[in-house]
Amino acid sequence: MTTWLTAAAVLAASPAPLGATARVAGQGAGGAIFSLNIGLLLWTWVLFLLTLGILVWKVFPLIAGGLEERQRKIQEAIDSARQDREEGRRLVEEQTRELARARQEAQRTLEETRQAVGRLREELIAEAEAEKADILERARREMERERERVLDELRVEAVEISLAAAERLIRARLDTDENRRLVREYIGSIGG
Amino acid sequence: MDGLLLQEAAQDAAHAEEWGTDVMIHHIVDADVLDLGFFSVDLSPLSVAPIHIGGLEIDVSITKHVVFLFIAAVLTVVTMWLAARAAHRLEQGEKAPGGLLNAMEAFYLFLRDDVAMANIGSGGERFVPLVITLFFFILFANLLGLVPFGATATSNIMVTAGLAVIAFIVIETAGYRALGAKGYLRTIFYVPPGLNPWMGAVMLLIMTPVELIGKLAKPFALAVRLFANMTAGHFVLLALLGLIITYGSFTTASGIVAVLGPLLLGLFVMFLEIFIAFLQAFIFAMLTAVFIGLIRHAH
Amino acid sequence: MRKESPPSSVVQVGRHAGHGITIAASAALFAWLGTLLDERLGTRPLFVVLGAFLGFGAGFYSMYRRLVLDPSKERDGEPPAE
Repeated sequence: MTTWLTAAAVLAASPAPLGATARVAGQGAGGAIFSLNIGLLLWTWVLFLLTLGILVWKVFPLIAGGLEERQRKIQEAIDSARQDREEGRRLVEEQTRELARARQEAQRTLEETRQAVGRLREELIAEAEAEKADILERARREMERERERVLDELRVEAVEISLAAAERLIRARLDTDENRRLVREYIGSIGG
Repeated sequence: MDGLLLQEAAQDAAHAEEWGTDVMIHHIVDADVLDLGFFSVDLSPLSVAPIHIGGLEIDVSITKHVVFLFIAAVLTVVTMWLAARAAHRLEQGEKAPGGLLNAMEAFYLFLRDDVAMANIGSGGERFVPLVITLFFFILFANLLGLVPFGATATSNIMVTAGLAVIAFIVIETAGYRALGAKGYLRTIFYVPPGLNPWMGAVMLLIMTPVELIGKLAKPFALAVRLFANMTAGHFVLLALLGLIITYGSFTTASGIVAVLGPLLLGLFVMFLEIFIAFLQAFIFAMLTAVFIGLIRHAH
Repeated sequence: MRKESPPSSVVQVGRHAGHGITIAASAALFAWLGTLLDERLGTRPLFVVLGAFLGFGAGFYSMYRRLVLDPSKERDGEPPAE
């Protein structure tokens, strides 16, 4: 459109009447393949620079913007995918770590329990041993005491018996040395 | 173009011998008539008197090539704008990328990353729009010659020269900005190191014009390469189709051979032409980027 | 940034495509200067021939510099000339 306006402007500026100079272009400069018409060169400049101008002005920013936008979106998609994957990996890692920790915990608890049980058992055994020893000791002491008591009783009894025997003997034969000796021996044998 | 040729062939059936280089040249060179087969549009009312600046005669009349260059410019803007709108809609999350957007995006990314940035290096972002616009503008100008009744503006040396001059100005400006005045002048005035002053002066005197020629040779080669490729391709196509006209009317048998052979060959060349249209647009854009990169890194 | 790959063949072709034109054009330029000198001094065809050779040599040196000298400098760590 602008081109035609330019053409019109050129026409208006031209002093020559329209159509009066009609002729085959290029003939003036040979009309052959190598026609050197500078007008065409000027037209080339005008048209090319107009095209370049319009494209730079309106079109290229749009294309570049669209391309950049798309690139950005793709980049975003890639980034978010990577982020998701990373997040997933992180979660899995966390889970694994958690699981390992739980297992460790369980292991530790089990170990502790085992140790406690062991300790408890030892304690119980030791206690039982001690009690057993205590009981034994007590029993032995009891027996000792019992024996002492029995012996004492025996002594008393023996004295009683001896006295009774002596009474009898005395009644029978009061002054025999032999008898006295016999009594002494008897009592001694009981005390032994 | 084929339709156009066949149309003329029908008109010229009685004068088959007249089909020749004149007609071929006619389809290549610029004109102030748009030949649309069934009718033609006379552009001569849009002609203006040549402007004289000094000894130069400048004719800014709107011609066939100007019209097709204009169409190429419009196509460039429209396709890029459609792709941009699709990209924008995509940005709003309305729609998945479609075919056109995908193709344009692939071109855009390739031209930006592998053509512009790879060759210009860091700081090449500023030149990305130029390289991409050069590619599509030239591509559409090239391809327009392959549609029926179309014309290839890039088979005109002045059009390619115009583009090359733009490339040249950008290249030299980029060099000046990247190297500074001193560094830039060193790309023109070069003295080999290790020479005594007198020899250095002589070398400077001889080499400066050569360096200037070397500077100009690059855009010149750009312009000529594009022009020659587009012209040659069309000449081959036209010559093959011309065979149909020339030999098709001799006898029936020769006619069948003469129609089928060149038609198949023409089809092949047509595909080749499409490829070349892309290739030359790519090479022009690529080399512009390469030259910008080279001069920016010159020291 | 992108990886630094060795320049593709298209790049190499583009980089050195101007050499032929440069040699031819510089030969033509110096030959033309030679004719001017010859016309002035009346020594035709001495300076035409000398100019053509000089132009060719200068163009060739320009190419030699870019093809041989700069790449070796580049290998030694200096940046390449344009």
